[in-house]
Amino acid sequence: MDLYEEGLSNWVENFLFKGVFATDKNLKIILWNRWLEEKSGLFSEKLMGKNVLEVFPETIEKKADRYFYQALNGEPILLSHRFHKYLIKIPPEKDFSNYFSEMQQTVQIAPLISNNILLGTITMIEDVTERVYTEMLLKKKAEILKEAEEEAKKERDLAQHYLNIVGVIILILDKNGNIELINKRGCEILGYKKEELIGKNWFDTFIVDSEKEEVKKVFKGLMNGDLEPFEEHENFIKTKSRGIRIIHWHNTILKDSKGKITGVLSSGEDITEKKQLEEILKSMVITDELTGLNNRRGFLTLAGQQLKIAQRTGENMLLFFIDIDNMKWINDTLGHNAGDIALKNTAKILKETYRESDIISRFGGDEFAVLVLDTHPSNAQVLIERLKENIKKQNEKNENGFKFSLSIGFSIFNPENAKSLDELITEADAMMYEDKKRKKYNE
Amino acid sequence: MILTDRQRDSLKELINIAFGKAVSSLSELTGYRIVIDVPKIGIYSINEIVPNIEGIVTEEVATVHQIFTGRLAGDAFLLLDQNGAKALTSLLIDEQVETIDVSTKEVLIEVGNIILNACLGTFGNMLNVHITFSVPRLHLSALNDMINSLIIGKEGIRYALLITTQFKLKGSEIGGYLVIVLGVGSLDRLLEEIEKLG
Repeated sequence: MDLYEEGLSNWVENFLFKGVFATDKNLKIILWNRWLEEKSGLFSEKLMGKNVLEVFPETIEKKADRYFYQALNGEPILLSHRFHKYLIKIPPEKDFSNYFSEMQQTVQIAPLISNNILLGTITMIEDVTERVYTEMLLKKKAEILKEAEEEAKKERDLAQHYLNIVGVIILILDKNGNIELINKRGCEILGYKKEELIGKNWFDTFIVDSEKEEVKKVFKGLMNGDLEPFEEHENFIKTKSRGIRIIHWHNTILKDSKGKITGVLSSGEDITEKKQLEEILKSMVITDELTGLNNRRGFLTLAGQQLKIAQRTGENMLLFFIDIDNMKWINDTLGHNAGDIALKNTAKILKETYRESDIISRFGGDEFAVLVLDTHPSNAQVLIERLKENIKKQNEKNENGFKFSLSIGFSIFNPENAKSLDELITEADAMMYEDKKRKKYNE
Repeated sequence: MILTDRQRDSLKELINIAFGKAVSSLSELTGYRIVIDVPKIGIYSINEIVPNIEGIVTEEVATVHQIFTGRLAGDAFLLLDQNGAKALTSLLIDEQVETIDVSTKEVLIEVGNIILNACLGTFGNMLNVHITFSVPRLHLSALNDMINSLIIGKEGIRYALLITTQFKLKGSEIGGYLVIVLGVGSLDRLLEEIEKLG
């Protein structure tokens, strides 16, 4: 044996960090290195010269004997741990004894050849337990990750589904007001395809010109955090296919994990039809909400009817036109609440003064109109006196903190010389105005 | 260099037996019946080898590569596309393989080892020449790079015998190729041995 060969075999025997053993052509062990001694607890002296298959009968049970014969036939073999787990039964390192009962091995069995002469076999055993353990962990982690991903995907799909079926616009705008997300309903209302909308500036595209600059300013303020976010608002938007629509929005400011504002999420309901319906309904209302009296529309309708009846029956009627004095001053100085009280008090006084069958109305603003049915023109003065008396009583209660007065005018309906409702109102209004002017002059 | 018809026929027969042995060991491993094409044989200049093999597999491949030396020297390959490699491993270890980790590589090497040994061993036995093989290596790369490195390593080779066959596991999507590249010197000796068989 030359020096190099000896050096090499010495190194393999004592220092190689893998298990190596060799046999002669009869499979008798001629080398069993130190690594194997340490790991298996079997010592070289005891094994030398013994047949490897006899020392390790399990190799025959596992049908691994054929690999040695193949090696003797010149064929090298690699035995992966996945198929074979191990060749020589060795306990695993302590750290892995909970997971494996044997050291996991990848094994190479090769013909031992020198100068083209087959001498026997050489086997190298690598401890892959730690690697197998790591792979196992990785696989488990990958499975968990995959499950989590699938779960997340399911949630995403579900969320997408909700976004699509929901009957309102769902819109996310970035900090610059560009569209980041919009759902199917939103696309339908706006009349665009999704691809056309993403990235488009919301304000430039959809806000009506008259409101554009103002809305942009408010949005900028919101994004800078200068303005408190408002949860709801309504505005007009220009759509491609359905003209101008009125949308009622609910808004949520979006922030990133550091609390920085990134945009806004809004859900918007198209209330155009609802608004139109409200308008129609409003036009059908004949009662004034604040005072409970007829409103202007109610008065004109009912008084108009009475005029026609009176013409037929030949009744006289009186039309009073009444205005609260200094209403502007009350509103400006004492507030709108005081204004409302003045209006309510007037209604109360009018109800006390006139009969229930008379048509009493809040004609508009601080003006009231009363049509007194079936009466003699000479009663006008009596009624004015009664009205003034009631005002006086009201002021004596001193509930209002200000002096309450009304200006009064009236006109007479005479069926023999029938005037129209418009004429009656104009006449009474003019007289009321004279009354007001006179009071001002006297002040 | 041109093969005579007689040489070609003898070579084909020899290869048929060798590849047949390889495939039957794969069949034994997987429990699937395996269909194998008639091997294609050709002598090519080294420049033509890569395009010829590239024509067979174009995707990323898993190649089990075994070098053999002795009177006959050359390279043997088992070529699988990477999905095929995963599918084959899944089949063998009876569990879904998602990525080719080290353990999976070893399984592929062992499988390639068994197949190529069967093939090359038959070669040796039939011709009664002793052939020594390396333990195989697994390459996961573009085929091109792998073949090029092989040829650069053997600049002496001007011509090579290229033998390829395609196999398919019946009832599965797995298919692959067996390729043997033999230098011209070895080819001469191979033909000599074939003549001896008469």
